[in-house]
Amino acid sequence: MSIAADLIRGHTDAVILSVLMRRDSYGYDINKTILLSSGGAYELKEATLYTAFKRLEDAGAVSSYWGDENTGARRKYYTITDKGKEMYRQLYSDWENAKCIIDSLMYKEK
Amino acid sequence: MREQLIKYIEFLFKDTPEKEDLKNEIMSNTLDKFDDLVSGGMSEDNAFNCSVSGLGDISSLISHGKSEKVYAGQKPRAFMLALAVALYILSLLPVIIFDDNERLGPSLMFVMIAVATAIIIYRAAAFKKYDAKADAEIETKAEENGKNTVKNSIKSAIWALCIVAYFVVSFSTNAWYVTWVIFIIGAALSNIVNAAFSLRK
Repeated sequence: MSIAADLIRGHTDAVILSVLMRRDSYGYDINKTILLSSGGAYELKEATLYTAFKRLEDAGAVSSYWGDENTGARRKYYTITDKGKEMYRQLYSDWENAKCIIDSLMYKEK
Repeated sequence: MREQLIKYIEFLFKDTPEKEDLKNEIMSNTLDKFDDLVSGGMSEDNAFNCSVSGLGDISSLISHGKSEKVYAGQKPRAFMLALAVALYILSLLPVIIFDDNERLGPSLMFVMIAVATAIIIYRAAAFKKYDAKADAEIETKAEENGKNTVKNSIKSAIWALCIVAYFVVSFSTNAWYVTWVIFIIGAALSNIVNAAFSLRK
């Protein structure tokens, strides 16, 4: 798990953008989506999540707004910008590329 | 338990009132998680522990503002280093200019070297606190990029060249009384390499 997590860590931004490509979302919901999509195998550390939000926002890939929940604490929603969509497409094709290369480099024992 | 969770998060942010936004964001997400776990059938105690442990190393985020100041401190540091190095290099000028005066040239040279050295010592002492933190951060980043090895090779090359230059220049000019300056220039260059890698972060 920890080794796999190390491998995934480099793709944190892509994973988050992937959730936001589908819909606007907030921290806990994003992480839960990641957890469910991976069948419970992967979850981001919260520190990682908030650091990534800040990085993506500084890079202009996402923007945020406060939800208008009537009850309890207000949620901070993130929405992907055009720049972020562009970035996601790039990250996606980078990953396809890398996956292809690594697959062809890894020898599978018979 | 929900109250305690709110208090816990308030406590985490008690010294950073300027991080109100981050606090609210973390608060709502953590409470969402807590409510979700409880409605999923988890006991409130367990849900509390889960939510708190999930916050993990959030303290690094809360003190993040400080680490930005660390980077802000890089500029004056780099400037002081550049100034000191310039002084080291220019310190040979008085000796060349006042060629006919055996006392003035070398005296001025030593004054300039002393000032340059003082700047470097002051810089090291004044920014010591920043140093450890900034360098640790930069170091990890550099290591990730494999730049550290490049930096170290450059630095060893500088020292090797210094030794060669020292002997070549000394034997050819016989000016042993001044050629040791080459080693100071070496130290300065090695620091410039450090600074260049730091600034590129």
